[in-house]
Amino acid sequence: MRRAALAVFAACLATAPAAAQPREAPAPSSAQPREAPASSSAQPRDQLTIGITQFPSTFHPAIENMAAKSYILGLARRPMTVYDADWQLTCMLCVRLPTIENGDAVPETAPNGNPGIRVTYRIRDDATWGDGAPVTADDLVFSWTAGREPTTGMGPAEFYRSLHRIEVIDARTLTLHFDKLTFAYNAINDFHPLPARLEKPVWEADPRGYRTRTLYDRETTNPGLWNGPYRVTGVQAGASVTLERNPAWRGAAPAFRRIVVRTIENTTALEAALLAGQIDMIGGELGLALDQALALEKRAANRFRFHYQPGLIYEHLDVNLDIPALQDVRVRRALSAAIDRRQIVDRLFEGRQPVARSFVNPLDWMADESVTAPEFDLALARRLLDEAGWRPGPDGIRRNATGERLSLELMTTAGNRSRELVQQVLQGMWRQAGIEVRIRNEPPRVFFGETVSRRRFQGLALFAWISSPENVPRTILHSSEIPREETNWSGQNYTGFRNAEMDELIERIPLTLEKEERRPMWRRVQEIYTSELPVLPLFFRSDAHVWPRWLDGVRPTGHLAPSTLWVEQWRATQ
Amino acid sequence: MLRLIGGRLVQAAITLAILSFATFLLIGLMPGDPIDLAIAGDPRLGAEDAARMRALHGLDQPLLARYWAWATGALQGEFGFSRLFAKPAAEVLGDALIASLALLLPATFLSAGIGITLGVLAARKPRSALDYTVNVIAFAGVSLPSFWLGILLVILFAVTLGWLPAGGPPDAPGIIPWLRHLALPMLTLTVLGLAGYARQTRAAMIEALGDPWIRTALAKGASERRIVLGHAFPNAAVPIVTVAALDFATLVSGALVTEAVFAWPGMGKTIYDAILGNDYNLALLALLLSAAVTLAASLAADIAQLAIDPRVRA
Amino acid sequence: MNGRAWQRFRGHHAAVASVFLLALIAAAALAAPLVAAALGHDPFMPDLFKRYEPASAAHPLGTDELGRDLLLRLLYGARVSLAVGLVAALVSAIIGTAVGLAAAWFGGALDAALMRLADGLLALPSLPLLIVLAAVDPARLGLPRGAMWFDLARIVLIIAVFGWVKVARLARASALSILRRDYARAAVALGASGGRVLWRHVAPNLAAHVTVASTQTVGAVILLESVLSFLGLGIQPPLPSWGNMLAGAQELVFAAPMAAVWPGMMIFATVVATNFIGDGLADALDPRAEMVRA
Repeated sequence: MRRAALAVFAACLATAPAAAQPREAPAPSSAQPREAPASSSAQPRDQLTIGITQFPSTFHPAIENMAAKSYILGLARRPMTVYDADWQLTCMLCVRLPTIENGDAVPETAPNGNPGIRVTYRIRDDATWGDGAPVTADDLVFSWTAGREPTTGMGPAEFYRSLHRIEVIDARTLTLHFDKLTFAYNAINDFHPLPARLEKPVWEADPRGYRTRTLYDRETTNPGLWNGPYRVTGVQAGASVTLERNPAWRGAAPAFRRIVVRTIENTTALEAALLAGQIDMIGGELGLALDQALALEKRAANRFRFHYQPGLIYEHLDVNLDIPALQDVRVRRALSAAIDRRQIVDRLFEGRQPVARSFVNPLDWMADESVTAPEFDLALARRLLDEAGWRPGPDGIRRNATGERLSLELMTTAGNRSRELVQQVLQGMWRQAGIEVRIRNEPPRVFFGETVSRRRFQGLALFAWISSPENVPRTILHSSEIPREETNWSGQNYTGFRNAEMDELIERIPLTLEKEERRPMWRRVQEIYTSELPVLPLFFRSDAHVWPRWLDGVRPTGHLAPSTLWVEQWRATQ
Repeated sequence: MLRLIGGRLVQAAITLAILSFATFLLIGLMPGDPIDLAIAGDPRLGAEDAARMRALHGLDQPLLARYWAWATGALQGEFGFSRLFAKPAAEVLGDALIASLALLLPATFLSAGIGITLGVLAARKPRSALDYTVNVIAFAGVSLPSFWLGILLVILFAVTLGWLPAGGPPDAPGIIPWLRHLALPMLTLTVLGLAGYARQTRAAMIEALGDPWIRTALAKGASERRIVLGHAFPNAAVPIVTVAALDFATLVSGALVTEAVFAWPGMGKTIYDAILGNDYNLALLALLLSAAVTLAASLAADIAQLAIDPRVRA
Repeated sequence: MNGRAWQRFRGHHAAVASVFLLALIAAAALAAPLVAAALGHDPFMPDLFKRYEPASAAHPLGTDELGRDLLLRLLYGARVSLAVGLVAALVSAIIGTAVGLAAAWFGGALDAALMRLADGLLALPSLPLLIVLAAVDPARLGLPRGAMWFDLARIVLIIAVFGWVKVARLARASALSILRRDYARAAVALGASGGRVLWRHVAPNLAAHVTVASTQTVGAVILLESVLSFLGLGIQPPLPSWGNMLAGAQELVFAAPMAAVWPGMMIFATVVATNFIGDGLADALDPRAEMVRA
């Protein structure tokens, strides 16, 4: 039965980056094997082999978005702006971050009458493509032109539409005009410069066929495509990508002559490859399951360094608010109070993942410690259920006045071992409170594509959201985002949550430019969320990074920006 | 014989047409468009992007129209681009096919060769120590999941002893790196595969050796080797050929689990990705290929059975 | 089975021992609640303070990743795995033999249609079909949601749909070969009915091949159930089966190997037992054995 389809579904909704290393940049004084002379074969550590669990389906920076691609391209390309490991927006290719305060960003009225803004960026003088050509304003203009054309297939459309005009000041300076004004006006993390000299002719010849003819996939090793410290020099489809130092790179010199990123999808095989010495490290952005890494650390702590950092992947239970029993907020509070989150995190994950108070990550600046956190209180849970009219029945399961049993369905993605474990623990905990839970899992495609997105789950759905720093949860909590047949099931407010105050806050927050003015609004959002409980928070996931003891300076971020964007800080020590 | 082959070609064409339509339909019926999943997994994309991406990949067209477009293209040898890999489907499949065949062809021949030999040896002395040993090896082969056998071999030969690489295709060209990287996955597939041959051969040979004519010949002192190989084995060959044909039929569909354990970029993984990614062009081309091989193997088995069955010639 | 066949079966010691072994496993599986009561644990209730405990008097085989008793989970798992493994293999064998015999006897268009259907099933990628099936909500078909017998029946059905092919091809090939032999031709020439020829002359002669082929799949079928669980088509947690216990142990193979060893041994024991029983049956049913031993 060789053909037996062993499903290797990865954790579905999210495979994201992780972890901030509590360590400053490496000491620059220590001797580094930098410009390794080729003569000595004993020259140590001029190659680093990284294992990850996914292979990118395309190398084009702006087409499709997958973690493996952003991890590998982090070595070979630099974005204009990015959130760094401290979750602050910083410039990579630009000289300084434009702000309203420093005068590079000026609010204006957009042609459509909305409040808009113009933002001026200057590209760094030393930004160079691998073939020696400078990175210029043309490269951004081309990227915008191509992105605006729907048939090119770049995303997200919202960005290309709101950026309605680009003014080129000089070869390296340009002003972007947006027709909306939000607090994230200067973040253009997804606006990728593309080498116009190489790519523009390809695109102009056939915009619709660009996706299949781009040099990024046809000629991936062309040096002119890469502007980072490394450039791609070899691709073995499905297996590995080889990168070597980019001679045209003018920033700090990276430590390794060559970096090989290997794809090993099965995490047990990935662990074996690490132990067998075939790979030096495992990129936590796409690495081992947390409990697997914890178990490995116990046996191999002397060979590897382990780093766990919570990220922006929020594991939670969506409550279907159409289910009569769950419409009662007391029942939802009882469900929440019956969950011992601390025990789950401590026992299953050795305390390496932070318990979630709400959807706001504790590392995000707007996280408010004064908002009541969900506490484990079984007595409270029982009391709340009594109040709500659910009294213990003969089989230990509570019943209401009409004799109906308090029995709910709990669904998650089938085949996700970690979630299935949490699910069974929850089932046991709720049983203590007299709530029966039936588990019914589905493959991720069905679960997300049908059951959750069309609000067909009969109770609770366990899954994760991934977000970026200070992400406004509009699509998840705004009442206009409840999926309905009339709107072709768009929106992600799967719980069916309606709260006028929440709607208003969600609309006002993006328009409030002053950070301190947003703080009380965010506080209120968290208060409503934790008292109404349309969603039961569980915990934030952590990524497990495994590094060789001789590697230093890797600083994971915990959000979508991969640690490879700062590869020139990585150092080999002896 | 020619009539047999001609008739089969007509049947094969009908089978392929029905199969391709069934697969198209099934992929189309699967809930959860990958574009929906991409949208759900990326907070930066919205409903508008979904509609745009769907139109871009032609997914907004009705299923029948898309099938018709694909079928007419396929008949002209035009299999289209892979949606997932942005390359011609044939090119994506070509690489995977080479990797898979490099692994599966030798493994299939080895398991058939070793399995049949073991089966014949066991059948000569049923319920002897040798027979029980062969049986136990075969039982282990059918009850060990390929994942576990693979990972045990990796732990032994790659992690503990460090003799062989844990997986992946070789970085360096040359025959030695290839052999080193192929050794463990091939061993896994061979052990798993030989069980079927050994058991089936053993049963068929015991039956054939029980034939009165052969027993008489043996009693009269004919050379045992000649009788076993020259007379009993051809009699026993029909079920063995059938098992072999079934095995060869799956050559191009890859070995998903073994590929996963050894990070081998073969057909199993490619087909799996193509289906889950609603990559019609890639999935259907893979299906056509595997269906063609299956049909050919089944035809070959029928011809071989006619050719080797001594009673037919008689 | 007539008296002599029974005698021959009893002569096959390994087969007899295997019957006892399987009966023992089945009895233990049925008695699982009694064992649970005796040990005083609930095999479905997680206890996170007792994860991966080694074997002890309280937990004869230790505990699993959620602190549940491994022995009890093995016994409950036996219910699912034995039922699925034996029933699905048997159903596949029956369908396969029937299809193979029909194809061989009638030949022509029916043969072509059945065998191309078999080829088609062999080539058809099963994954999309399984995912489509996973999306079917039993409640909307008027079937109970989450009822265990329904899950089990669905597993058996899915496995049988793909599982009959091998048996059918074997049965057809052997049947054709037998029908070409003199005694079968003679029987047909003498005017024996089709059913009689197939039953008296063909079926007994292909029993050996069919039993070998189908007993061999028992192990694969037990494992296949866990693949189906992976797609949400098998059984749902917290219900154990040997297959999903084994699959669950994959990630932590280096840290907790015993979690895989026990279910693996159970599957091995079941495979050995069914195969020996298969051998014994094939021997016992072999029509020529009487002449041979006589």
